[in-house]
Amino acid sequence: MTFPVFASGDVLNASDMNAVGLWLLVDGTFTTVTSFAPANNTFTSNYENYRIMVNISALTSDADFTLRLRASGTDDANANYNSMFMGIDSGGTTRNRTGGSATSFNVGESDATFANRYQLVLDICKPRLTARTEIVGGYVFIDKAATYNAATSGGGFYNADTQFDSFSFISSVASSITGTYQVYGYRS
Amino acid sequence: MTKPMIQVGNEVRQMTDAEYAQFVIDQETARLNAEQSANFESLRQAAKSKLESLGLTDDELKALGVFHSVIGANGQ
Repeated sequence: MTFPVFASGDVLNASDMNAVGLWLLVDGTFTTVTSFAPANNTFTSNYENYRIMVNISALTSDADFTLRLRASGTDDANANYNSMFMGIDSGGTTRNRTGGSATSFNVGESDATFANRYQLVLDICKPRLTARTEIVGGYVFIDKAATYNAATSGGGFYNADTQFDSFSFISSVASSITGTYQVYGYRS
Repeated sequence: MTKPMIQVGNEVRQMTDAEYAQFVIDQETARLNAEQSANFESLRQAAKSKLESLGLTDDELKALGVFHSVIGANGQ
């Protein structure tokens, strides 16, 4: 067969399957929760780096969003999270989102009315290794006051050599977020 | 007391006591950050008013790179 175009009835042998670079690990939904986390051991030794996508479709009240890394079913809330997201709105004004030695990554905010404009796309690098975990990516959103729409790009790192097996996406408002998420593994 | 709902994997449940304690800490931290941002915005507007009282226009302030594309929301 001719990779990457497969025909109906083709046999997928090992070399074909091993050439697949990005593998969907989890495709989930969440409804009016404060936070969601993929199951424990979503990050495994099978993959070193991961891509996550989060789409908010509804929000009960204006909220800030944060992200924490998890291990063995518990969020890590140590003050080791550094966020460096450079943002800009459609009028050209800077809308950065940052945080140093914080207890979570800063992944933006959303106005409740325009919640379905929030989209996060983030790579999480080597969370399973006993090493720094870096995040690289960005997100788009409409601010809580609904005064501008903005996009950010950048990243951050967890400033300690810690192993993680999942993450939590957290709203500042209790039982507020509805949406979908995906986690992909990058084949090394 | 009913605690906020969270989802882990496919399980939707109330927060545990430990998770709820962290949620309360996060709420307080967010409140303090918002207060700090409001103070910053207040200082920013006061400084802008002083410059405008000297005769500088919005366009001139923008040309100087002040109050435009340099200082964003939350003073970041």
